[in-house]
Amino acid sequence: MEKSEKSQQQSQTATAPLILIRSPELGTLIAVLGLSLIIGFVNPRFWLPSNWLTIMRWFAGFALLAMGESMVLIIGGIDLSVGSMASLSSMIFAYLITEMSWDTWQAFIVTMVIAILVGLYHAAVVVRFSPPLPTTVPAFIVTLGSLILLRGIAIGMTKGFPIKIYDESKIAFLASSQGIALLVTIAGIITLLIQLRTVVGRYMYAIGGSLEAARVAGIPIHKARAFAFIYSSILASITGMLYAGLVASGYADIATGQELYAIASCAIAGVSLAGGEGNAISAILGALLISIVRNGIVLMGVSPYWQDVGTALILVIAVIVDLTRRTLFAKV
Amino acid sequence: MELNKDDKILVLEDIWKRFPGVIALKGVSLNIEKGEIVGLVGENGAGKSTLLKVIYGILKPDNGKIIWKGKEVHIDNPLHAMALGIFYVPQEIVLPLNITVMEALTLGYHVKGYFNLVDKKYMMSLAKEMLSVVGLDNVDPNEKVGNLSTASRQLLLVARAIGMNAELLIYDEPTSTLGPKEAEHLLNNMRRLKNRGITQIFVSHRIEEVISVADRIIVLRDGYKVAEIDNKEKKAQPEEVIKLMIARDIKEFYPKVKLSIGNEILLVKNLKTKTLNDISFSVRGGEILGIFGLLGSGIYEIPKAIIGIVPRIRGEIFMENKRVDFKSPSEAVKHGLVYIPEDRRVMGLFPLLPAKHNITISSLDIFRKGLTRLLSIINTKSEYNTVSKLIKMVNLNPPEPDRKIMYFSGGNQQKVLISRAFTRPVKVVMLSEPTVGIDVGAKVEVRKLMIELARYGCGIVLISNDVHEIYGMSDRVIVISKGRIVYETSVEDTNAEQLLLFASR
Repeated sequence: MEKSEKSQQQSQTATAPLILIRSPELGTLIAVLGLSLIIGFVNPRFWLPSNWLTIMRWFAGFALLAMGESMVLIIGGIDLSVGSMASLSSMIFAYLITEMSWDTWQAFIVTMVIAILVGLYHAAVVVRFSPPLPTTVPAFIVTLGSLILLRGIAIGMTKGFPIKIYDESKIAFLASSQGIALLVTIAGIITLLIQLRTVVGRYMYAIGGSLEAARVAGIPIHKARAFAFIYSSILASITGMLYAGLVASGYADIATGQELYAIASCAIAGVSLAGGEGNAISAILGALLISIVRNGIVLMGVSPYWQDVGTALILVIAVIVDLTRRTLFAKV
Repeated sequence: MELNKDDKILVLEDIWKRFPGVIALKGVSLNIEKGEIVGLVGENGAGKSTLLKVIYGILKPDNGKIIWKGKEVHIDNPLHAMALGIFYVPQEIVLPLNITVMEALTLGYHVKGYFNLVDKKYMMSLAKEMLSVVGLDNVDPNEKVGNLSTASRQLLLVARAIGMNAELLIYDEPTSTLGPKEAEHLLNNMRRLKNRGITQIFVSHRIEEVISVADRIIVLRDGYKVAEIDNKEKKAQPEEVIKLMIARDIKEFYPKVKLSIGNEILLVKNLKTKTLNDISFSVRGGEILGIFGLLGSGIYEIPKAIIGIVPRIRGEIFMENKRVDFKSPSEAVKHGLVYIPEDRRVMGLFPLLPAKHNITISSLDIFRKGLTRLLSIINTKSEYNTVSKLIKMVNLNPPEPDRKIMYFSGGNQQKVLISRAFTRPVKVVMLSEPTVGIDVGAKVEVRKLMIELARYGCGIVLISNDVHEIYGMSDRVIVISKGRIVYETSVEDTNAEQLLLFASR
């Protein structure tokens, strides 16, 4: 009796600090707050509204890409094409507005339709080879192909020259803080709703947990996975159009390499790269952390050329924490 | 309580192990003598696996002493355990399939000849010697591991352990994936190793096997050691052991109820796949059709071919007299045909998802409100109502719908899997080995659920290589051997021996 009480206490004191590791979202939030305090202490300009506007512009793009990416990661896949998809979308969007003189909403919809087609193409290849292969193998290959292909098209469209959007009234909303905030908020709510409350959301977690069991349980594994790839492409194309609005032009390198930030944002805050775990909240928190790190490096007087090093450090630390969590809790 | 610990190879004193929410071991003490076979039995969740993991160094006890050959030890990890001479033979064999038997046996030996090259000749003789210890003289050391049967792979691990000077072998349900003949082979090998003075701990759900091979049987229940039965002089009675395990009287292992049988629901005609030939059968509402066959007979492929996981070469399937042609399980589910696979961990469950989501995953179309099929919102309230009703009905333990399924015991995982069939209007349920690897109490509960499904008018197809289960539960039986139907009978006109006889033809 006495003995069991004693060890009860032992186990409680042992678990208390582990709660931080147990919840990667909470861990990321604490990292965000802690880093903000440190950066703000070193350079009080961190807290200026104008600086937060800069952070939020970074954040908006990262968060949108990461939310789309989280869908694909949840089904146990990966989408390496989101950066190139965003770049291409900025080009198409700018081209339609400037060269074809289309209305903003027309260009918006057509760009999105193209993204849907790209997502469908990814899904078609994945579904063809998986099962028997796990989702991630064909996903990696086909989206790696698109990483190069879509950027290639974006460059080829104008031989690498940006397309300037002269009529800024057409992109006034997209470039405004309110517009960006609205887009990210709506996308966040929809993504979270899909993941946590809808049929396809439930299916996606099941598929990421075990493709074989999902198939046997009668889940439409092809449709659900196609949905994830299409969703990821759509959010990537919205990101591209948002970027086009921010810099008033389409540019083939506008989001080059950002697929890695998207994946990192997810991995940092708890979207499992092995599939089946995490949600849009993780993606948003991860994107926030990365944006703050990149901003903080500049504010702390380090050359912006070191931004990637800071991002990478955070990522590696986060993944090590994540793996520690898994070994501690998953296999008891 | 002073014991002479000299002749004891392993002594456990007052071992406690706690997990969040559960105490798995509550002061277990064991004395294991050199060269004996100790049978360890108990229901799922009794603490058997935890105890084995403590001995093998996968888990560390919260309190208690482990004394190995007279000295107190703290076993840090499996490598440490192996260095001490303690080896573990798991239920599912983890061996690379693409290496040869010789390579598997001599992994880690680093026998080197000239120029630091591996001395093949010496390794070969070493491998042959090891194989003969476990009675695998007829296995070619150059054979790929992947080409061996599960049983042979298990023996391979045993051989390797002996070659590495194992003194204590721990078997964790080694026979649960084996057929009767292969299991007997493994048991014989245990007896042979006993004569070489090797100590063995044997965990199994098959009580008869434990009784046939063990010198002593230790019964665990709810984390306590409740009994130690001497099985050396006089063999224990299975009923006696089971009674100690579950502490309640189960008269009926097979709670069969004769129900009124309705119309024909499922009809399969001339089904042919790569391994199956000309399989035809039908199932009626309220009827349990037993499909019996030994391992390798092809029985598990029948439901897979029907729902479209395994490609059909030929064959027609009718449901309620309408021709159906399922290309994927999702089509089958829509038509009211549910399949509960034999391999619940790989093909059945979603380990990361909570119990409630595992229960309703096949019938989300029922709990949705909204316009489209995929994007509609799940009505969590009605889902929750159904789940809590089912949890009560199947007696889930612990009754926590939000607990991840991987934290439930095997029997409770199986109950969750079967309750899937209760979440939607179902016409036929095909269950493949629904009671494999779960404890006696849960087996009976699962069988009762089968009866419950039949009571709703479902047709049940029970696929099993356990002849007593088939005989005890079915209304009609078909026996499969080498991919063909060799015998079809009503259960009144046959007996278990006859079924076995046909199956082994």
